Amino acid sequence: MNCESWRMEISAWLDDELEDAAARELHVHLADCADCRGFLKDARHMSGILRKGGGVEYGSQVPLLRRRLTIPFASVALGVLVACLFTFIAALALGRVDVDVYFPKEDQNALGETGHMPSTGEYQP
Amino acid sequence: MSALSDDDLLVGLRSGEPAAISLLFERYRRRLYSYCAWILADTVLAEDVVQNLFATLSSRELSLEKVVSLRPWLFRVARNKCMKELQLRKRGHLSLDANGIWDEENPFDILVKKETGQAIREAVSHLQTIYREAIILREFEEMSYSQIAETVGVPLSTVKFRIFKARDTLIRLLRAVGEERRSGT
Repeated sequence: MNCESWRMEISAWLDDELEDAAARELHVHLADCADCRGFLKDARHMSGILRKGGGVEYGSQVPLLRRRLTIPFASVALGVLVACLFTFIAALALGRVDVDVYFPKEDQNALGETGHMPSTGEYQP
Repeated sequence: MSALSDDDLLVGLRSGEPAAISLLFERYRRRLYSYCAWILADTVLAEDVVQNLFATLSSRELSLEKVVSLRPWLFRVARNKCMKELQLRKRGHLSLDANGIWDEENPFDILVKKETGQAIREAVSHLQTIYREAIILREFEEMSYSQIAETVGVPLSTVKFRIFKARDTLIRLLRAVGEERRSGT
């Protein structure tokens, strides 16, 4: 077996994917081969660094220009609703909107003669 | 509910329980996102792929009858979606040619200027897709070789080779970068 094949075994051993017998043979080779020991050391070091901070965090590390502007639909709908309400209240306060309240026929008696309902009982804006 | 194992979740998913999908989303959203972001090298697209994956799951378009192990299956579905995206962008280099291990060009010049951790992560992002996904699933997801084989759909020996090849290439590159820095100072 050449050193490249041994290094593949080292890689598998680091991942706990090497059987015991193969691992014993590997350690015999490692005792004699400085180059493969160097590979083992570097592979461990690299693995440690990758595991420490390699994942991409959800929603973070996103370059600003590549991030889409995503506003939830609910926020937009709420914003529109608040704006409409505010405009309506402002217009009402300025006396520029007449409000007719429609009550069904059966509720007309409750209004009495001073109520704002049209005499026909039908809604007439 | 959060104490449910993946096998329990699989049962819940098969019967179409909404709670199982929510729990699955909570458990795997970030990990799938990270995996897809590495594969696609695009965080926005990764977000889309993960959302699309869970939408597909919610609509029960995917058959779960033959699924044995949830995690490799989930990552395989994510992988397939990523590969489709890569093909659409014509960025997928799925060649098995071991000589062409870098995605585009050797990132040596870029890495010389970076600190070690950043250089390693950036070097990973330049690996060809097949090597990149192997090292990511191993190092970040800590999947076993058999789980990676199941996810990627290749034999165990191929997984072993790809992980080794990725490590070996990264180590050679980073050694060269280290030497360049030393000679430059």
